[in-house]
Amino acid sequence: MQGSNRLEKALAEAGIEYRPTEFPNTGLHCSLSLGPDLVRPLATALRSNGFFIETVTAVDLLQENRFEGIYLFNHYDDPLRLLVRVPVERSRPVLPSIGGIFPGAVWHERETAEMFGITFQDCPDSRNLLLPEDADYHPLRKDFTGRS
Amino acid sequence: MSMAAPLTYTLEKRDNDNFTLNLGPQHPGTHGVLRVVLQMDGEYILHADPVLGYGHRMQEKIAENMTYLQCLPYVCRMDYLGAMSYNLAWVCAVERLCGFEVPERAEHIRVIATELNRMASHLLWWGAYLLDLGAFTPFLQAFTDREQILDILEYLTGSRLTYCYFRFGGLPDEVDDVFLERTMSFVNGFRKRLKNYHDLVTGNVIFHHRSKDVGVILPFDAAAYGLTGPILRGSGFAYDVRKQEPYAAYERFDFIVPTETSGDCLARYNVRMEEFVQSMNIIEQAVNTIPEGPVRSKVPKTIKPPRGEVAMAVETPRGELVIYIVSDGSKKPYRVKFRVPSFANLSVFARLARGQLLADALAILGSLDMVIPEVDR
Amino acid sequence: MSITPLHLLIYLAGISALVGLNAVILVWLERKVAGHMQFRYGPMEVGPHGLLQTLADGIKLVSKQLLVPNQADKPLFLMAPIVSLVPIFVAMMPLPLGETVQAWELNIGLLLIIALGLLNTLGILLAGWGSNNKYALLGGSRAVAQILAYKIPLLLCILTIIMMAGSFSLRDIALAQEDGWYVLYQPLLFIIYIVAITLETNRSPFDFSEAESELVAGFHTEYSGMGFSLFFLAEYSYMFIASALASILFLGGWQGPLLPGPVWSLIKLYAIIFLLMWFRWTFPRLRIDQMLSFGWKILLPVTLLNFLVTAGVLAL
Repeated sequence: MQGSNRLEKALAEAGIEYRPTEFPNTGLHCSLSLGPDLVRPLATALRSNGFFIETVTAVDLLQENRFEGIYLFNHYDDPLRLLVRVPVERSRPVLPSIGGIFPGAVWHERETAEMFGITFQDCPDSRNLLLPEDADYHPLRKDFTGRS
Repeated sequence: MSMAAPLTYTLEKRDNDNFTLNLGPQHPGTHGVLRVVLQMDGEYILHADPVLGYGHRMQEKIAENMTYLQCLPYVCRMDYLGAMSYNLAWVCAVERLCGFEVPERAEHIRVIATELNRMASHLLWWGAYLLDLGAFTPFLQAFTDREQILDILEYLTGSRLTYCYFRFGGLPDEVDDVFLERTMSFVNGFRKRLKNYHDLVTGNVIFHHRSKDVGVILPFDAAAYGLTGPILRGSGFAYDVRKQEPYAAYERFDFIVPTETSGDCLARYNVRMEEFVQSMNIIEQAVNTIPEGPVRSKVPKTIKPPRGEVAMAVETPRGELVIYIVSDGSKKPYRVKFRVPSFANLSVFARLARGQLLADALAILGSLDMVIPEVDR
Repeated sequence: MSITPLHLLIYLAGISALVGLNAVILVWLERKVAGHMQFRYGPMEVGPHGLLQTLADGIKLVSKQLLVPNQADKPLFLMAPIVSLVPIFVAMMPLPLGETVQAWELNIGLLLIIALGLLNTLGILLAGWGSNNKYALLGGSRAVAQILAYKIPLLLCILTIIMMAGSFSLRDIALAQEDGWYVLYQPLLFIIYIVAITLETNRSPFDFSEAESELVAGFHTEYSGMGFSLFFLAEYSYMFIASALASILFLGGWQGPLLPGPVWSLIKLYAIIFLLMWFRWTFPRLRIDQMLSFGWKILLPVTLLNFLVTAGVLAL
């Protein structure tokens, strides 16, 4: 299928192997798990192949003591939803920012940073987006109960 | 003679002449509680910085504390104008996660209700956009038609605005022919009204001068900002989730995806006006080919999906909504992420507003068609 | 002709009655016209067909608290609506509504009205500056920019008519149209004049200074109650004066068969006001630089050309 060829090519540019999933079950055409240092090369390869950023978010896996940064990419011409999972330590969550490659990711990163406390390195803008400017809590963490 | 704003204005800062204007949370032109801090030089905008969060309700955390069925009313409160599509997205996401089947009759009704909602949302956009431009009459004319749609949907669902209609596995109860007849009579009447709207506004010289070449979104920016919906289709990309990843019986119907290439406010206007026609075509086909049968398949009383994750994409009137659910096998979701279209569409505003006159910036904001509670969640 | 204090008293009473009555009628008419153009009825509750609605609104506005914003320039803020309103009483003096219905026959009546018409904009500017509000300031400065666009074409229109009639006096201009109304000789000029008075009275599609969707309420953002109602009294009265001028300069004033003079005068006047209202509820708003463009690149050359051609034809 032409779509998956495009994805395979883009992943190959970043040096990553293509792993397809069952689309009708999950809504995802491809699901990857990467280390933080591969995020920027992947984003650059995807940008040059015409993919667009759907969202940047995170999942808090309290039991396994880690966060997983979640990136969703898609393409306008063929259905190609790509999910990229980037595990980071819960005690020191740092992810590279792709704000320089996809300007639209800046807002997603701002929101993820304030909700989970993840720091995005070299993000062009790291103010709080939805929470008040002086908020020092991270609501979407699993150990946040709302009682301060 | 061109009536476009002069493009050769250079943005050098002059001391003491610039001022900060707060397009505050309360402003008739911002379509909700949106605050944009503008650095202005006279009427020209030097820098626009949207400040969000005035309507933030932490929906994603609330969803982690509720069962899947309890989340259903919450989802439609995010985008109250396109609530049916959000409803559809949540219901389809959980059905995808659990593997439920939906009967054909239910899928047809889902499509009809969603397309009616799309028309109601676009009618409100049309009225509000022209109100931003200073024409007062189209707003009230659009509401006359919108009231008819709301009456039909009230007959079907019981609510006028924030529908909580679909259920996992289909619809809550049987749908009779009165709904289908009312829908068809509305559609037939609206085709003539649409011609009136085109006569009043679309050919108007002043409207063209205010919309043509204003707020051009370049194709290069579209993927960088993750734009979707009529905004993207105005810049030349024929991306519509209903065609690309069909859900809920859309692949059975024949419709085109309207696109324009110029990327300005007029292009986005034309795309949305053409979407009216396409929605009416879909509704007609759905009503004419609707089968008899059950409207709900058997699903367990408590939804306990298997462990895993799912992403469901749906075309709302504003663009692509993606609901990403991570389930840990219990009856409450572990993590829910709503990727709302207006969030990405608003992030391009700062870039579009730079160097524009204030009047143009507000016209651009109107043509982006945002619902701020959806952005703030 | 000298004016005695008795004359002055009668005149003031008459003009005040006219201004007040005109405002009452026009507010009701505006809402009814707006309603019917938008497929609805407009006010129907208060009085038969909403006729007493203006009275109810007036009582409401008068009973509101007069707020002066913090750090606003209080003298300017309070003076602005008065500066807009008071010149109307003088500007209505030379207007003839009938053969003998005129407050004061001035041989430069037209000049007086044109000069005083500018004070409306001064009132808007004072309101914009005195409110200590950036939106009001933008509204006020837009009103000043608007003068640049319409004033010269308006003056050229009027000069052409004066040239054809040979006098500045409004009565003489109306009498000079006994053989044929000037609208038949100068149809283009009539159209330009209507556009110019839409610009002068800040009506849509040229209502930049009070653009509701851009500047929250423009120059009258900070005004409440009586201040706001004085501005609108002024706007409707200027509409009355501008339309009266249109009917005298182009449509022959009070002349017409059967009905008495003042009735014809009012019919023509209110027909033009209805036209202005029709514009407001149909068209979207222009942008300020487009309006300036239009004024300087289209209106001005056309009126100038028209003036020269008329001068040429009259000389022959």
